[in-house]
Amino acid sequence: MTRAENLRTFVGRWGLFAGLSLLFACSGTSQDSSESGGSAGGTLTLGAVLPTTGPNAAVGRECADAVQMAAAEWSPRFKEKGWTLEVDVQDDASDPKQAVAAAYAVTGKPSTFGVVAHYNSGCFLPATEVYHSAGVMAVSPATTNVEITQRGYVEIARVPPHDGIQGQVTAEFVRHRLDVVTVAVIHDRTQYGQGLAEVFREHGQNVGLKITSFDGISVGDKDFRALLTKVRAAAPDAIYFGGLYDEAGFLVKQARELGIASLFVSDDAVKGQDFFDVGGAATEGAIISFPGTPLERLDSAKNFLSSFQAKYGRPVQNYAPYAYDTANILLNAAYEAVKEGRPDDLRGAVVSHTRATQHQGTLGVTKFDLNGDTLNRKYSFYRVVDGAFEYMETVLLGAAGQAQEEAGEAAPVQATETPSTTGDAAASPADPSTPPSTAPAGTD
Amino acid sequence: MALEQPASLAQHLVNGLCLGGLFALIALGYTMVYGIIELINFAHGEVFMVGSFLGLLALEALFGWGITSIFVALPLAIMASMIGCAALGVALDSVAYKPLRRTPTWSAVGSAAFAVVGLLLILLPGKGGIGGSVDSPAVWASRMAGGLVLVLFALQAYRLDERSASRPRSTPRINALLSAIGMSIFLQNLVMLAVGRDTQTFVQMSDFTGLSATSFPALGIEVQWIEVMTVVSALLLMLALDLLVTRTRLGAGMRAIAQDPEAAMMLGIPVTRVITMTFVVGSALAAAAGILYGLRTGGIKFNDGFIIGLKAFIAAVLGGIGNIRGAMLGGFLLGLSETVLVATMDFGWEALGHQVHGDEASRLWPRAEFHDYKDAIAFLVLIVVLCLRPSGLLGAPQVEKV
Repeated sequence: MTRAENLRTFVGRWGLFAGLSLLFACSGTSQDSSESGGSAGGTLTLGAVLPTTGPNAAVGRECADAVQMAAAEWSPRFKEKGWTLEVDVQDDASDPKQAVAAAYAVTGKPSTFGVVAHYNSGCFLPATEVYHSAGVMAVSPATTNVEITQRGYVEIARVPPHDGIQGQVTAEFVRHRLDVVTVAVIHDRTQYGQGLAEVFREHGQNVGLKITSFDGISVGDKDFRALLTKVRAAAPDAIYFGGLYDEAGFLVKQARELGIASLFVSDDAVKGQDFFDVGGAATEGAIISFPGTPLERLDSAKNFLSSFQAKYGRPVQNYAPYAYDTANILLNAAYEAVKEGRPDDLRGAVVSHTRATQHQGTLGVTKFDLNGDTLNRKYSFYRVVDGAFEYMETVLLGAAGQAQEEAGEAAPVQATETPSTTGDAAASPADPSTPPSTAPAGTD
Repeated sequence: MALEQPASLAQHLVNGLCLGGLFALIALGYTMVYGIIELINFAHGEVFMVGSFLGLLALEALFGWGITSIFVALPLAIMASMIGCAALGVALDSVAYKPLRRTPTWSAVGSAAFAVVGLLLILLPGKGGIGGSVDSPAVWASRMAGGLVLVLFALQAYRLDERSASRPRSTPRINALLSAIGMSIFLQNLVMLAVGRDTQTFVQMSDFTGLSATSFPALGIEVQWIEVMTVVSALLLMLALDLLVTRTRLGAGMRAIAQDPEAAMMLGIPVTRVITMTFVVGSALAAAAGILYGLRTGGIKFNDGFIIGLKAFIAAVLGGIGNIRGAMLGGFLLGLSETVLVATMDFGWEALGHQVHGDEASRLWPRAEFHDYKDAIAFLVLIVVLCLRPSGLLGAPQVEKV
């Protein structure tokens, strides 16, 4: 494990550096505060490390704009207390190496109190070490890999629910709402797809699904007829696919050609135009899951959607509301810290305020569990109708089977906490309208 | 479980034959070139990929002109794609392989340098060029013109040099192999820059007119017309090729060069022309495979040539590289082993589970997951065959090459 050791010494060395800079940060701010008499003075920096160039540049820029928007709204209130608020946008270009460098750049600034951190799981994973050693609160608006929040770092949190939740909610939804019993599970052997499929299989068996087969395919392969012929022999009620849109399109197309009528169920990475481009008419009736409640159905999001459009002259595509809520959580924490007059331990104060937040934002109420994962664990389901994703319903983990017989049959770890969010404003359905037509092509 | 139903077996057979036909068509290009100049043309998979894109282009153009009948549009598109790929094959040979078959001269090296600078001017992304942000038209035009002039100059200089100082020689074979790998990477990236990284939707069978349905019931399953077309056209093309090699002067020339290039040259066989024709024929077959592949899968991507080319190469080795009938056999064998053999193994494993555990099998017996390793099984077949017959199924040293 020389790699791990290397990483450790590497992180250690930089940790020292970051620690020193933290020291300077503290001394700097305390000087400021002594000058201005207790609670005021100086600059506060909100970091935003996002892919503003590279393959996910569109999403990254949208998130950065949302962060700027939140900061502009908070700026007058900080001014009142004598603080100048600035946003430091750094580019990680969806590249893990650049992500770590950008994390050092942003945490190296003494005035940085928190970071809106990363779009890609692959970027956030290595950078968590940097934020942890610098003691800077980093909240991600988009990353969904399970491992990110499993490291026990108090400085790490995220606003969207992680991939594990998706597999569980989908299993419950398929079993209880679609009356499916037998499922053939297929995955694409990626961290994302296989992880999702495994969670689906395990949780599915708990909620009463029968898994007829569990197979992997290769990303880039286009001929799945042999596998589907095998699947067909078992005649499952549904096929669940954990993977991306290309393979999903080919799978559903070839399944229909082979005369398989089973329901096709897949994940958030499939929600995009490419799925229709590849799968064509065969996609009709396919069902996919997507995190959160559709924004158009959230009263809390309506204001944001229209003001974003007004400010930037383009509609919200996908993750802007997540970035907006993330920035607001951090800014609110900083404001609390400033109000309390704790500028000497600003980073620590922001960490504790963020982890204790009960933020009523565009996505509903965001609260974090001990790992830093959101308790707002809702997934929405869409069905393909006439070549478009039509909204079906939004399901909370553990709630899909509530009308069913044995209560607590699934008993997932998270089920104990879920009731607390059922009553919030986000869960109340607004007037029916169309779901977002565009969607991110998976946050890997 | 899968083979208990005859429908499943029939389906696996159809899948396997289709896949095998495609593998065989591509494998022929590998084996013919190897038979004649002992070069593993690693760019051949990319020729297949370019063939599928040219086919898509031709079909879309024909559809644009209102020609949608499957009996007119498809043969025309296949023809266009075959011609385009034949030209590509010849270009590949003359740019990447032919210069390595003769003694290098300084003027040849110089013209190559000119060609590289010219191509960089034309292709380099960033400002202007394919895939880059276009700067002002004047700058762009002068770049393109300058690049083109340089390339044309280099070609002409090279041709003059070739005429004055053409001496065949035996270069290390690794040179041509490296050149082939380079061309493969170049072609892949060229297509990526030209059409993008995303999967391009191919024309669907239901878009054609002239067919009342895209499938018909037979053998207890729904057989797609494209599957029938794939197998039938693969067989027809192979028959034509076999006739070409055994019955024509060109074929006799190919066989002669395969046996002994120097003796063939002394006997007055136009070696250079026959080699060029070999690239023409091999690339055209790959183009046909490309279009059939696109129609069957429904979407194509710039890197499709890699894995399929690799498997076709395995098929060629399986049948005995350099042996045409061997490539056909190897292709079908590989296609069937990826489908029928894998399904049989899955079935056998589950049957074994029933033997051991009876009705408890589904709980106690590990799930059959041979399908997850279908690519590995293809290689396993290759290893077993090569252990038993080191020169491939039909590639015994006594059997004539090509």
